[in-house]
Amino acid sequence: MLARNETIFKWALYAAATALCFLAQGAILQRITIWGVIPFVYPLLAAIPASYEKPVSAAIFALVVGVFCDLLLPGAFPCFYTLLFPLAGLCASLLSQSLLPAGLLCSLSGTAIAFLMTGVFHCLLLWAGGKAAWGSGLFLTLREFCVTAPLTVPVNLLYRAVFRRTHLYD
Amino acid sequence: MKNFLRDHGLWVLFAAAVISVALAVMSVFSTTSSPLTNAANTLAAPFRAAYTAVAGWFNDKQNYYKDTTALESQNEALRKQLAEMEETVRQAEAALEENKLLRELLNLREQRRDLSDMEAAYITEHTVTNWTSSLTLNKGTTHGVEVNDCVIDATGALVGIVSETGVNWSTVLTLVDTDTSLGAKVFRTDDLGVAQGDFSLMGQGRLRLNYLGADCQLLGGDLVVTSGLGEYYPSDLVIGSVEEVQLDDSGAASYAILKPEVDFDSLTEVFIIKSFDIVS
Repeated sequence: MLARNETIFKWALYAAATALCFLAQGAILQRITIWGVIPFVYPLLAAIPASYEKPVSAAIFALVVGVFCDLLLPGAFPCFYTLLFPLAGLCASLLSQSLLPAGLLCSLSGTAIAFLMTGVFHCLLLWAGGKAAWGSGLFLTLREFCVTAPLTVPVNLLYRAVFRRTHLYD
Repeated sequence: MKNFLRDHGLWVLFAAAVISVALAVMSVFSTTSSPLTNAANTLAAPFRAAYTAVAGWFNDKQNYYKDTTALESQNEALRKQLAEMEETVRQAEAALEENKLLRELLNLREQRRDLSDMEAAYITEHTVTNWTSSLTLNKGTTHGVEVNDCVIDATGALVGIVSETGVNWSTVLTLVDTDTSLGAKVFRTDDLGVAQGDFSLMGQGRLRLNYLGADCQLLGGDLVVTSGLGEYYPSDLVIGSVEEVQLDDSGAASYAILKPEVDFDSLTEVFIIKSFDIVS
């Protein structure tokens, strides 16, 4: 159990790492197109730190990431990521607590779940708007995941470093 | 000493007088300087040379310091001048850019007198997600930009529609985005339809012209423009050209696949139509 100031310090470090990833996405990643898609790091930011934390904290952190994504990214549905990312965070946290130990494999699995949820929800929205495109949507999700998956390694290292720095005596 | 002068003072005075007279007589009859003068100056010469050298050294140092100080101040002044000139060049380059943009705007205004109020803007960010096709502009509500304003390029071709605005920014959904939908007309045949973004075509940079009659006679390359019906958007803004025509699933209507006139990836500057006159 961490003391209050240690808890504040930990979440401040998580926030700083997340801000760094937001910066990398805006400054570098969204200018790169591979296989017709740009690497999309935001689902990683909901899933990977969540895999190191307990479900409630993970969901709250992912919710905050989702709110920021909705504020910064254009989209037809105003609270798309706010609704979706807490679920993705919760899934990643539950996965690390029950099936896979927190680490690269767990992060990759959590990321895959986050991308799948995002893609399916996008397709659902298109379908609800009378513009169903399940095939194209799921293929885009697959390409998006494949292009972004290698970034799981540095992002996982970053959050693992934060976790280890703040849990020295665990 | 006192006793010596008192005892021999007279003799000393006499000897001095004799030496003086002798020197005077010798200087009168000699063609060169007197031996005593010569001896005194010969002895003084090295000292004179030494202190001249020292004085020269000091003089050199003083001059060097003066020169260095002058050069430093001159260098400083030149640096300042260079910085001012560089600033002027930068301002001139910015003015040239602005001039080019304003000329294009003026040209566009002369071509399209119905577009009464336009705002030039730069694109600060291209598409940020794989699920939308959008642009972010550097003009917002402080410049009078509103949601649903049309955005065109320098040739008057439609780029997209403003979907969100902030104080100094606005987001434009391009023609190929799935949320874009606007009344369109085929320029050659006057066939009416609705130009809509389609998710399957968005990745290829294409859109659909829906709700065409099953018997429409469109040809590849036919120009499609905004219809202006409903007076929601200005009329006759170029959307793109027909690539192919297909019957829809029901077989009762057909749709065309359009290639936008604008290359969204290479765009850097656009014009926002803030208000327009209805042309009847």
